[in-house]
Amino acid sequence: MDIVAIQAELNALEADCLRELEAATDAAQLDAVERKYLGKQGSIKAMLSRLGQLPKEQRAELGKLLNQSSARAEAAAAAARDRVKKGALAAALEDKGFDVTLPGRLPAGVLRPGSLHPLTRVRRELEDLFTSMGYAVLDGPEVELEHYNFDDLNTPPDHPARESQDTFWTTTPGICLRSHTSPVQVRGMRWWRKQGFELPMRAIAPGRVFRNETVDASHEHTFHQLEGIVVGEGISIAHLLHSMKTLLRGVFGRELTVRLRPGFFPFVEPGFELDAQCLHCGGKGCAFCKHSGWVELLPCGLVHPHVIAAGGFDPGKHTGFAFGLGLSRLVCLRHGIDDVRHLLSGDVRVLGSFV
Amino acid sequence: MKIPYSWLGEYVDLRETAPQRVAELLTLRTCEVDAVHHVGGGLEGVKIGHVVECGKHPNADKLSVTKVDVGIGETLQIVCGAPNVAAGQRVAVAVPGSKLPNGMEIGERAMRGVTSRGMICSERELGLGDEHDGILVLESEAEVGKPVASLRSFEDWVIEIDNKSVNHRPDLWGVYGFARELACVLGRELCTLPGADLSKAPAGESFPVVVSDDGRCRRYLAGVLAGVQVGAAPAWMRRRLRLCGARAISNIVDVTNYVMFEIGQPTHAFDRAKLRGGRIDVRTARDGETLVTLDGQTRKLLSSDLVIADGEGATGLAGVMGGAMSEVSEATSEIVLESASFDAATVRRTAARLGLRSEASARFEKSLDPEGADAALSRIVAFVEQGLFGSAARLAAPVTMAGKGRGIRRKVIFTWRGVEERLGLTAEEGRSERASWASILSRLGIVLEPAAAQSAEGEITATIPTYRSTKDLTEPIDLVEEIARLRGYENVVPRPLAAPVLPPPSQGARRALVRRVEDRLAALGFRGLESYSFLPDALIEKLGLSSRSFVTVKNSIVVDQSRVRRAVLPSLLGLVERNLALEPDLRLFEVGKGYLPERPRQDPWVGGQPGEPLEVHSVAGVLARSGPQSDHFDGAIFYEAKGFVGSLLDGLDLRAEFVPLDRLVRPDGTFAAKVPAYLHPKRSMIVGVSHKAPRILGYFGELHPEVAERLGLLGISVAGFELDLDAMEVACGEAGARRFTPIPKFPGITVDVALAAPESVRADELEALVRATDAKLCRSIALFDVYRSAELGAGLRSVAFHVELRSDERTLGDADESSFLKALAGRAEQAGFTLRGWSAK
Repeated sequence: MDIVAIQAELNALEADCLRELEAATDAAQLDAVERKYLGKQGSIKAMLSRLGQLPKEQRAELGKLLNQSSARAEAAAAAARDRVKKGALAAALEDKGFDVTLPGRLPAGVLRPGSLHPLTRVRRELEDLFTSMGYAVLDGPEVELEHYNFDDLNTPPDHPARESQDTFWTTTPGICLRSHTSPVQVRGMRWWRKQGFELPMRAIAPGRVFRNETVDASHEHTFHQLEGIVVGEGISIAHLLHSMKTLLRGVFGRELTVRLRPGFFPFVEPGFELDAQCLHCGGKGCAFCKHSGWVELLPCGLVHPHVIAAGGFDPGKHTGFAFGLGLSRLVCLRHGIDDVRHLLSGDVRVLGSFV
Repeated sequence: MKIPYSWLGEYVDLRETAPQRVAELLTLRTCEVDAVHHVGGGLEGVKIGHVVECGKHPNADKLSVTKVDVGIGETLQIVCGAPNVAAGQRVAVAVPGSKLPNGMEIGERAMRGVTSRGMICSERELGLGDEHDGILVLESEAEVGKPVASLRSFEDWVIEIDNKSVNHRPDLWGVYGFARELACVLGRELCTLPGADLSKAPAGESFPVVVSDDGRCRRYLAGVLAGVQVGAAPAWMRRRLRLCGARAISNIVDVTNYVMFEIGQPTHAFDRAKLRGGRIDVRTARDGETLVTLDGQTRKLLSSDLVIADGEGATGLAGVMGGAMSEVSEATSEIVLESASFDAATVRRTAARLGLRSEASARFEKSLDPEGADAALSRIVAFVEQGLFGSAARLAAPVTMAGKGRGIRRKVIFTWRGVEERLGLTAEEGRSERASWASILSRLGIVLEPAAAQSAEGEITATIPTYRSTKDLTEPIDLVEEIARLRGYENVVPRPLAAPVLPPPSQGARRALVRRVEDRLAALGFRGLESYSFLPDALIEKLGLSSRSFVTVKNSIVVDQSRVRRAVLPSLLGLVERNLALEPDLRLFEVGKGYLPERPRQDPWVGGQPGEPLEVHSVAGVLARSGPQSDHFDGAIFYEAKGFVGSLLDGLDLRAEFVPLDRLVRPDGTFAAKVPAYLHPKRSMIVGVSHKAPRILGYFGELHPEVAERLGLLGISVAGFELDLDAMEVACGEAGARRFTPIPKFPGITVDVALAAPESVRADELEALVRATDAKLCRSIALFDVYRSAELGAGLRSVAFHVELRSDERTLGDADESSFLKALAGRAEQAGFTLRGWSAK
């Protein structure tokens, strides 16, 4: 064979290679073309074996031609690669009618998340608020001794509240379901003293309470309260008012206009109802505030000296204030729950609203 | 309690103080006001008329044609449908052109051919009440032509007080008490209550009264009224009673009610002729004694009741209700009027036991001032002198005054400094206010000693008036309240609490644990809930818990609210059926409390009382799936429950240990731990940990199939768990913080091994056998397959494990692997099992 024939063959191969590179539309096809012509076993590289068929003086020339041909083919391959890559990128960005409005979904194997009860959430929020102000969080029994539920709270045996229909009495004399979280006032004071903690004592006690009454959308036989108590030296109505305003700012996230007015509870003296200017109408009067402009939010008062004494402190020296917050009511208010009975229904439609 | 504004105005000047302002002042200073109702308003066009003539309508049987003088010179012809209309009456006439409160416009129109000019009104048409059976007949002395609204107590405002807010104020159970309160709030004069001078009674023999139970009846007055004519009370009085919510009955009853609403002191009239033996004994009831009360009911009495007895037996229940036998009737001409002071607790207990709570008992149970008895009787006698019991009625003899007690004037010792401290004032701030505080107390009728108390730094003795001494004002703090409320709570300047900067003392461990539990379970797809503490009887039955003891409520108004749960899981099981339809893959949890009555705990602080039941604080969860059964192998839910419990405890840094029940048999055959009867006996396990000491935390398992059937859950996969938070808290303390496992220096090798063994050999026994082969090199063993086949043989199964072998000293090689496998094969053979196969990864 002479060099002319080989050269013609090489040119034909190169032309084929360039044409095929041109025709390739993706990386896999390019790979195949490169392998076919330019790989170690590729047909252009294979032309090297033809060197032996030529006279010595022509071998260098053919080598040169081969290298040039390979270089051109490789450059074309690189260009083709670049073209394919750009094409692929352009294609990736092309509008293929991709519907972004189809719903999102979790991959298989991911658990559907559960949820926390709204009471749990609000309770936690309040616990965090109070602990940030140095209050301890206490707990007390739901099945309670009459003694703690009444006697120690300055509600002596002949007090009408004892016999009132709304306490659940158990078949064991002296034991009832607590009708308020206030028993924790005395239990808490005793514990505080026994532990020798520093004064003023500051504590809250969230928990469930029970009333033996007919239920409706705003009354439940079982509901949640949050009791609070502060005992120390020189605690006054001024402290109570300041603390209540701080508490409400923490709960509602803004300063509320409040007023104190007399309220009677045997375990506080003086006793108050703390009203806030209606959260809905701002005091103008609406259905929510029964057109009074005020909403009853917090029963509170100075701890009665008898209760201070029952707690083991010295009523001549120690004073304090106590308050009660309707947790269930707050949850309903916060989340717009129209029927308090939803809270303890255990209905997944209610629970599912609070994922 | 309903307080008419016009009535208050008779005792304190309210000309400058509108009803709404009165309500507002009471709200801010005294008690809760539920509402203010305007009654008899909008009646400008309604005049007092005199029915001059009254005749039949020519064309209608039920109608009358009247001629009514309304003071305009000519009479109006008015057609009236009321059966009670009659000539001579004073009536309320809506004249043509006027408008009634209900919007009705009055004109001139023909009724069945007769022209009617105006309308004679009923109570309802005037917006006064519901009465519509006839027209309203006014007092005969009413001045014709004047607006009806000019009549005494016709147009009025009723201030409705929330009774609960004055339970502690015996003095506020009548109009006069509120007038006194307002006089104090407004700083105005209080008019004296009119009353007859009882000492001016004619001489004669007073009615014989013995107070045998003088402990429970402190004072008993009996006045004999002769010449009584039973009839109707004056219209203005009847109007007032209606505003107070009472029906008019007769002059005797109405006057006693009127005085009760005014002073707060109930009284009772006996027909003297019906008091057998002509005497009264106030005594303890005899057990089994009976009395027919005014409502016609026969009451069985107990020795805890106090009765008014005549010569033969009980004839009234003291302070609660009179007896039918001595009731005043139309024929009565002589009455014995009782005005007394009865023991509050006795009245309350009797009234509560017999279900006889009345206006009278409600007042007595507040601990009324004994002096009220005198005031009430004297007020009634004043009405008698005005002729309200008939023109001939008179006090016939000196009033009997029996009983040992009079009102007391309590003394309370306090200091101004104490008041300042409670108000949050400095001594300096307080000093400038002391004069006004002394004036507040003096307006309340409290006498201070020394009198120049304003400047005194020492103790001051306050003498309380009788009407506030029974239980209301007894301690210095009570005086603080009086000063504070009348000074105005709006004048309190808030002051921040001063306290050392300290974190709250601990006891946060439980709260932190509960939060971790809740968050972990929520992350595992469980919905947190709060359910009722009561277990319905039907659920107890279905769960097979009837034989357990429960804390039981005895006075529940609803049957299903009487048994208090012992644990939380039963509540959750009761929620599965109705929720499963809404959520076919159900996972619920609750952190809550249960109570065990059989394990009472004596409280060291409360002597002589029964102990409180043991409280169990736990977390329970339930998982249920209603999907097609073919998706899941039998028992899948059990393993899911096990997986969730394991993951929950893992999240608390606890290493769960699951123990089959049969491994907890004691040598004597009893179980060291049990699961509740509602769980499947073969598909339940005890959950424990052993970080420092072995501790049982709780249990989990599949629902017992019988229970499932009773709950309507047959064929549905249900499992539940319950873990004790007390035990978990202890265990968490023992486990401490999770330790970091150092990253291995040398690589390990993983070998998969399969052991064939009889079905009766449990997987964890096989695992133990693998581990025991080389406890030092075995770093983890994980089961990955269980396989049965004919080739293996009946009664056998193959269990496969991934085993990780690793050394801390060197890189393991093929030799280590083969020596491990050889040793394992030997051990397996020794135990009667076969090492079926292995492969290295």
